[in-house]
Amino acid sequence: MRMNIKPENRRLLEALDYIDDKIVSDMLAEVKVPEPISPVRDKKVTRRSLRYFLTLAACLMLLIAAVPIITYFVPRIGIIFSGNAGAGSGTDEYDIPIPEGGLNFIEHVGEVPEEFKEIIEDNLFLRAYVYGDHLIRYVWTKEEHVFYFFDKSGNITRQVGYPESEKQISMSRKFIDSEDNMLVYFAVSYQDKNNDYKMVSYAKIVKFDTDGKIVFDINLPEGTGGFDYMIETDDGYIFPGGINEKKSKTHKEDVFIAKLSRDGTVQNTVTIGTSGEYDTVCNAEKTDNGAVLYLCLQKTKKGYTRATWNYYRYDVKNDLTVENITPITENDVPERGPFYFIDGKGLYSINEFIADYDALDYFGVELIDYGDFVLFVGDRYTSDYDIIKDGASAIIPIKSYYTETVYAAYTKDGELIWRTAVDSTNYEMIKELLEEQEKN
Amino acid sequence: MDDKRIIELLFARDEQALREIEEKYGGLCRYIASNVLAMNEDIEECCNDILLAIWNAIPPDCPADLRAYIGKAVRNRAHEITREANAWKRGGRVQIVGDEFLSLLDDGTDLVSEFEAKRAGEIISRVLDEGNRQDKKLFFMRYWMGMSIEQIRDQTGFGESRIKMSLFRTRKRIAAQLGKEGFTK
Repeated sequence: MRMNIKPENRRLLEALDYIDDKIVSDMLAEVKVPEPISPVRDKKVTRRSLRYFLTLAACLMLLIAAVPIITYFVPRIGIIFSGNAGAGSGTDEYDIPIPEGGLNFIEHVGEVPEEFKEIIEDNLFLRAYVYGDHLIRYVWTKEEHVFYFFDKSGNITRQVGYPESEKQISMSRKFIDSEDNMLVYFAVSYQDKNNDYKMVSYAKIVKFDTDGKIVFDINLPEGTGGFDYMIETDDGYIFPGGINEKKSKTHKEDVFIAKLSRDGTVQNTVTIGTSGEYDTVCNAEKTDNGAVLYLCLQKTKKGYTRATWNYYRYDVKNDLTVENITPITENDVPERGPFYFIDGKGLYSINEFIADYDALDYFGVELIDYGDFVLFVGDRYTSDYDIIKDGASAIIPIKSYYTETVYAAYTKDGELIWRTAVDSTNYEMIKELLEEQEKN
Repeated sequence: MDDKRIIELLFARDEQALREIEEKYGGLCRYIASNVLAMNEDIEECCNDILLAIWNAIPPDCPADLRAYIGKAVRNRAHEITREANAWKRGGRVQIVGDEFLSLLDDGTDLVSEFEAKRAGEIISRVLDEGNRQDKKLFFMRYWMGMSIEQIRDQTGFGESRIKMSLFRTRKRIAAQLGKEGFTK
């Protein structure tokens, strides 16, 4: 006999939502996900469901409409990237409770050489990326994107600003260091207010000269994105990435390759893929007269079974003319990083250097080559705290973290010379989250 | 793609992360949602909501375990949809599982606040951790994932009566512990 479930007792069902994360994780890893239960198919219910769906869609649109406003007034992304609390910052400034048990700082080893003291004190290399002889650090503000260029001694050699466009509510970035200057790839997405708040996304490639002036700024067709590679040829650049399939509701994607001249003219584009499936570039390499692309084209899958892939080696000339298409096996696709080349030869896995603790490569873990030794820069957790977010579409307790940036110098044989760290916790963000929680 | 890389992409605001999540966890999302929601449209809506929620939440969130994070988020969102649309009456399988689970407190216990639900969740976790792994797994499959006894039987190879007995014992242990900690009347 069915019970009449009182609203109060549904709380007990909700109690299952608060089962320990570790149990959930362990069990989800162990349990094989079976085919979903066949949904009810009933005309009456379908019509009712349609009304419900439309109501939900309307709510979702309202929510989406609010995103640009929220993004403008609550620039959390900016806080993250500019959140260098540095050694001078601390919990006193923000009145943040230190978690029970205190903060677990890493052990400092050896003597920090004089020339690194200022870099570390100001945490200059926080989440910076190494390109050749220089480092680039990206900072987001409400008004613009700023790229700071440092030499290895911590001197700012260049500062490049790129204005935030009014409609571009989220942009991701990759730094691509070309021979002549810097190319930056942005993934742009925004809600088009003039078109029923339809989501619009496309890739943007911007090139700067050595003075930081924009050489070209082009938008690739709508739906493009995921440009992980850039092949620099004699007369321009080959960008292999992806493009959403039209009429696709479930992120189906084809491979999209664009050839750009040095002045930013799109000379040719190619789209390859299986209709209705997710196809991607798994790796790319430069050749003497063009590029070799390793394509992973998804086979048709049934139901919710795991997808399988067909692999191809795709040779193209500089102008994207196809030279050769060869079916290959998964093993023939060269593996991707995270690996670091030192002196142009040695191959260092990051784990060889940081095996003694967990580094957070979410924020960019870098090895900077100083000739005799390498400097490792990366973040790690010093503690965590729970935040219960109310009013979000998924009500779940989340963990946020206290962090420090570790600076560690190693010989090229992997032996630790010295190690120190500086607090990089984003206290401002913690305060904001705690205040939000208190309000709720 | 490993979870760390996906989170890294989310931090870089790269939409590729969503495609990777869909590829890696899309099946899990739909399965968990399908055990709570009856309609295909609801299931798809739930999974799409989760993608948007993840995009908005990370950063600043930085989940230590993406699989658990997504699993919990889907489950919560699916329950939220049932509440919002009164879908409870539509014959979703959650009602059957819910009845069975709630029967452990059929003496009239009410958990009236979110705080109490959270505390009950902690107690349930503790009881599960203290028991053997097999019982924990069967409980999780039945009540968290909403799998049918038949599905559990097929996956574990245990007989139905053994599964039911294990679930009964675990429910009893949970009820006893909740009682000790002041939840039952």
